[in-house]
Amino acid sequence: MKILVLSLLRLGDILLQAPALRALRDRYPDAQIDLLINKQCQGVRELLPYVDHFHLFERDEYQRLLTSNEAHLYTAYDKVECLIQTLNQQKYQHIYNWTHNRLSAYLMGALECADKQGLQILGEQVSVTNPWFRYLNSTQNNRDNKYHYSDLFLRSIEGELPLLPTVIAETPSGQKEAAQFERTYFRVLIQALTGDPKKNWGLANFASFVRDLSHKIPGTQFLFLCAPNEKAQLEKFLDQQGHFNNQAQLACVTLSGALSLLRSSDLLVTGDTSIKHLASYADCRVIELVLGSSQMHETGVYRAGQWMIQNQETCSPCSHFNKCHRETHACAQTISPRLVSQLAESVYSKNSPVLDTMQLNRAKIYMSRQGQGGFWHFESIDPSTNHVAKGDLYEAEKEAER
Amino acid sequence: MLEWKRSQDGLEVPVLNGQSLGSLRAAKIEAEKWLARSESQIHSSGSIIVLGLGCGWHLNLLAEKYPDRKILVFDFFSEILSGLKKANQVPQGLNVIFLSDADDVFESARMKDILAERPPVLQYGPAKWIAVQMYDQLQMNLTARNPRGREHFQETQFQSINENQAVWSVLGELIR
Repeated sequence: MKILVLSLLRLGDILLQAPALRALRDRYPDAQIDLLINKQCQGVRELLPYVDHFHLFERDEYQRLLTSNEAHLYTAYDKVECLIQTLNQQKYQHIYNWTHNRLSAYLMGALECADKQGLQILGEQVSVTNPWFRYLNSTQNNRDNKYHYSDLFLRSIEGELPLLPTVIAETPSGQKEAAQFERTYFRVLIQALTGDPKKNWGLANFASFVRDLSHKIPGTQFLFLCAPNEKAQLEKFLDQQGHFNNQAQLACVTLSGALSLLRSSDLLVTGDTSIKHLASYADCRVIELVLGSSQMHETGVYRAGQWMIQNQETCSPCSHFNKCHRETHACAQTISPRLVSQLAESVYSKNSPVLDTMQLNRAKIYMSRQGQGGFWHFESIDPSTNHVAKGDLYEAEKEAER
Repeated sequence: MLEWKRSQDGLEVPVLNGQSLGSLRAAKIEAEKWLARSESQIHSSGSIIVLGLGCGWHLNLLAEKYPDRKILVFDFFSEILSGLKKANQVPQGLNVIFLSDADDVFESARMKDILAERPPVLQYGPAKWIAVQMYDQLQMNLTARNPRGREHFQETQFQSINENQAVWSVLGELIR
């Protein structure tokens, strides 16, 4: 049997879909499972060894060829047609469209397969063949979706939730990268910068957090994760902060290196999508800062028992496609460094967090849960008692049970 | 009227009707910069089309960098070539096609075969200012970026286009 999955969004989305991919492999151990991804996400390949073949969609190259006067207009056409021919030659028995946008729907229309699941546009005809994608399609623009995307993809293939550590594979090269950073004590990873500036908490906030936590837990080791294009900015930041009395280091590592670091660290603090999903499969505790366009109920940290701090700004979550319209990055300002360090301290002490209720007036804290129906949801902390209470979207699980 | 002036870095630069077709200060550096900028456009196609002879140095650099490629030059001003050859500023055996109009390219039977492999069509900026519209129109004809070019070259090369509208729909999503 041959199966193709279309995953043509960003790296974070591929990682979000990884449990469903793993479940697909568990369900069809002998099948050839291929994945179509954007070329700029190809770094994910070594983390998904159970995918047999990766086809690359050269989005940037096609766009360049289309818009450059010096390139023949049909060069882009030829390349996309060639990709479609290559895919059709494989004669897939099942194709799943996990991208759910117009581009992937047109691509689905051009692919030949008896069983195509997901959004498809063929000529003027729009169809959605899988009930879970019909549900997604009906809720996509009105924010009514009650299911985490990982659950939704998992259900779309009628898959069983896999053991999360098996979803992503560690590599020898990643382990070698991580080994450069000797673990001395309680180790906290920080992904301070993200591809989407609206999800940045701000380096000043991270600096306050590091100082506060260092005071609470002397000797804490901080590693600032970064991509090569972020290195100069973070180097300058750490220099300015005197590397927090040599407690902080920069870790410019690959995706595999980040995974191995996560597996050997105690905590990750971030607003970034990709790294938090990676942490879901690495048994590293996570404090997710829910900022900008982050939709916590759809893309929150998938593993149970992780903290999510949701800002309470009325404009949040904002549109992914628009820039922040506020004079200041208001949602980042509502999450205080003190609150984050109080949660981090609870991870260290393994006790319930002692939270300053003043801070909770401006931000809400949630914990991720895996319900009995197998659906992910989250529960909120009651600021008056500091106890975990059932949260706003707890109905998702109840609905699943019904 | 064609004149020749020597650039400060030692190249013979044609000056046509008062318009210099290359830098009089640093014609060599200008050609080097052009090649550096153009390299991202050069893919595995066997041919490279260049619009504009200029002072020829860019063609020397291109031929040196891509010795296995066939370089085809289009220009509207045939009087320049002999001077460039005399100054030894163009590569040996260079293929040059002179046109009187941008639409003349439709008369060439060879072009359909050449364009079938989708060569990059590179304009040499310093040469185009003498006839901007003609060079731009020629580039659009050769890259199928105007209706005339698409219609003319479609009959032999693009038979499958109407069969796969989905490909255009995918591409359309990339530039929305």
